[in-house]
This record gives sequence, C-alpha cells and structure tokens, in this order.
Amino acid sequence: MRAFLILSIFLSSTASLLAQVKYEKEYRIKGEQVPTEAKAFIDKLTFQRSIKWYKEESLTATTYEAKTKRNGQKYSIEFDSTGLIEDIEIQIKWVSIGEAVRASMDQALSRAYKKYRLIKIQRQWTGSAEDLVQAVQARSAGEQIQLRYEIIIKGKSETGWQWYEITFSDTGKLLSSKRIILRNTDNLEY
Amino acid sequence: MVSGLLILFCLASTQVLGQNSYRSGLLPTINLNQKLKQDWRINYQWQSRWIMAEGLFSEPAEKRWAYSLSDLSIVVSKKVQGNKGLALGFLTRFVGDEQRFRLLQQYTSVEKFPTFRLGHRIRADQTWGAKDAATFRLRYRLSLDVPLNGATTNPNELYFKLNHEYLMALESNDFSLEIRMVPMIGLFLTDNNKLETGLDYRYDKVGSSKSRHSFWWAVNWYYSFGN
Repeated sequence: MRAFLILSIFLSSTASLLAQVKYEKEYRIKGEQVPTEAKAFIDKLTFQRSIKWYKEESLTATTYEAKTKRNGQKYSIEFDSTGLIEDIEIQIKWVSIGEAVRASMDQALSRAYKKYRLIKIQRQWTGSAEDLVQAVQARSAGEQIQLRYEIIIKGKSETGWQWYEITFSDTGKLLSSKRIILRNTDNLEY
Repeated sequence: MVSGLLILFCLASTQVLGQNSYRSGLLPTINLNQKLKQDWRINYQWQSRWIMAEGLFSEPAEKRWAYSLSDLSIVVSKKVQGNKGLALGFLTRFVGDEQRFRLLQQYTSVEKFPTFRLGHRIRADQTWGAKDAATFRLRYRLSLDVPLNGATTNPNELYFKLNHEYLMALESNDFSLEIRMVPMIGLFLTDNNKLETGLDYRYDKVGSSKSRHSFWWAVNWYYSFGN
C-alpha cells in the first residue's frame, strides 16, 4: 500500500507521465437491464426528473451510469457491473470551487500544458451508499465522503491540442490524467 | 427554421414551382483523409453527378440517365485547439470537354455534446473557367451528427446526420442564394471508415423566377488513413 502511495505521488508530479488513453463505449439501456442494486439506490434519491441509464464498457471494466438533473445541476451516478455504487458526479462551475483549490489546480495545469481550456468540471463524491444518499439529499458532502474533482480540458502540449480527463484531490492536487480519444470529424467537415 | 418554412412555402405553391426547374439524380462521393503529423491533414475528394430526370415542374417529367460532371479536389487542413480547423484547397471540375477550377478556404469547428456533435463550416470559394464568368461564393454549413443507439456511435451502428447550408454567390454582378438540406443515415464501420446515404436537396436562386430544385440521392464514403 505504501509503495503504491509513493508511486502515485511520484507519478502525479508529472502529468505527462501519467497520461493514459481513455477508451469508452457508452450506450443507452432500459431500466430493466440495470442491476437491481443500482435501481434501488437511485430510488432512495427520489429524483424528480427521469433517469437515463447507460452501460459503459472500457478496456478494464463494465459499469452502469444513471444520468439526471436536480436543481439545474447534472448528476451522473456510476455503479460497478454488479450494481454497487462507485461514485456520484455533479457538474459544477469553476467559480464554485474554493479559491485556494482553484489556484492549486491552475498551477498544476499550467505546468502540464502550454495552454489549456476548461470544458467540464464535476465534483466527484465517493463513500458508502448511506453516506452518499445523505450527501445528495443535503446537497453537501459530510466528512465521510471523499471529495475529488474530475475535469475535462483541452490542453496544448508538444503534440498539439488534445482533450484530457483529469482528476484532482479535494485540495487541488493532480491525481491522474487520461487523454480522451476524440472521434474523427471528417464527415462533419467535408 | 426560416429557410425550412421558405422551402415548404415554395414547394406548396404549384404556380411558383411550375416556372421552376428541377433535376434529380445520383451524387456519389469518395472522401479520403490522410492524417499527417502535428495535426495536419489532407482531404482528397472525388464527387460525380449523374442526372436521372430534369425539366420544368409545369411540364411532363423528362427522364433520362446521363453523366453530368465530376469534381476532384485536394484540401490541406491544420487542426487548431483540438476541434477547430483551417483549410485551403483546390478543385477541378470536369464538365464534358470543359474544365473549371476552384480555390477554397474554410474554417471548421466541431462541438461535442453528451449525445450529439455539432459542426460549423464557413467556406469561401472562387470558381473560374474558360467559358464562364468567375463566381465568388461564401457559404455556411451547420452539421448535426446523432447516434441512433446510445450516447456514442460504436462500430457497425447507425447514426443520423443533417447538413443545412446557405450559399451566397456573386457572378457577373448577379447575387443569388442557395439553400441545402441534407438528411442522411450513416453506417459507422470504424472511426476511420463510414458510409452515408440520403437526400441532398438544393434550392438554388432562392426567390428568383429561375429557381432550381435539385434532388440528389447522395452516397458518401469517408475513409481516413495515416499517422
């Protein structure tokens, strides 16, 4: 565990070293195709808006995702292949993050890229199912919840502009970076 | 939306249509895209037109099957900021024994949304030939690309694409407007290999007594290679 932590800290100091590629296949599914555990969790959150379910297949895992909106904020709730809750992501605005955390993120991004532009910012909550239900209902995370930020950016490096999914800790420390493979745009240009 | 209503209005008015001409046919296109280093790309395009019927709406349909023309073009582009592109290109049109030439400049931007993509294209082109006056055009195209199964299109799945374009042309001090509406169904074989087919509708010289409606059955093949 200690070796893993040391390795993580070492790697997080250089975003380019950490940069992985993010391959995902996401497709819409019906509620009946979702594991019962996942549906039961969503029922506890009593969202007013309808829930859209997606199945996501990446190189390493299969997950289920519920997407909805509450009070104008987009919620994305991710479950593992058996329906156990993994995390909750809530889309937020850059200015809603504390100034010191923002400054730390900006510093890390400016070190990793010549230029960058923010595309999407999400607050990511991880914790037990009970704590996450409470956090969603209270619209605020307690101490038991692990807070992280998942940010999509357009970053310019030596190889040109690329899209990245970057995870920051609650204090604004860069934890991981994955390059997003964007689809070919030839049929929208010619 | 406004153009859609305008097209519907014109199609509903048989008196107007009676004086207008039409043509229909086949429009196959091959798009080869070569990816180079540092976000440079080259697009090689071949497009051909085959007439199946043409004439005036007020007269009996004149059906015939005839080759009309072929276009060959090469466009060099550079991607900037990941989703935007600047391009310069050259096109040669072969119509019978006549040849026309076109220079083109374009700016493109593709925005990705959770369940669809939106493309913007602004293109300027200048066309000349031995027999015709030079034509200068400025065009804007909006493209929508929506997966028909899920949030993203996966291999061997279908997608819907809609192109909507406005073309302003200036030829010998005559200004004209053309509107295009192109709904298509695409087969996503891989990210580098796509087939599309659908109706390519063009309403040329909008509002003029010499308006022309073109109905092309378009078949597009996009293939990318390199780097």
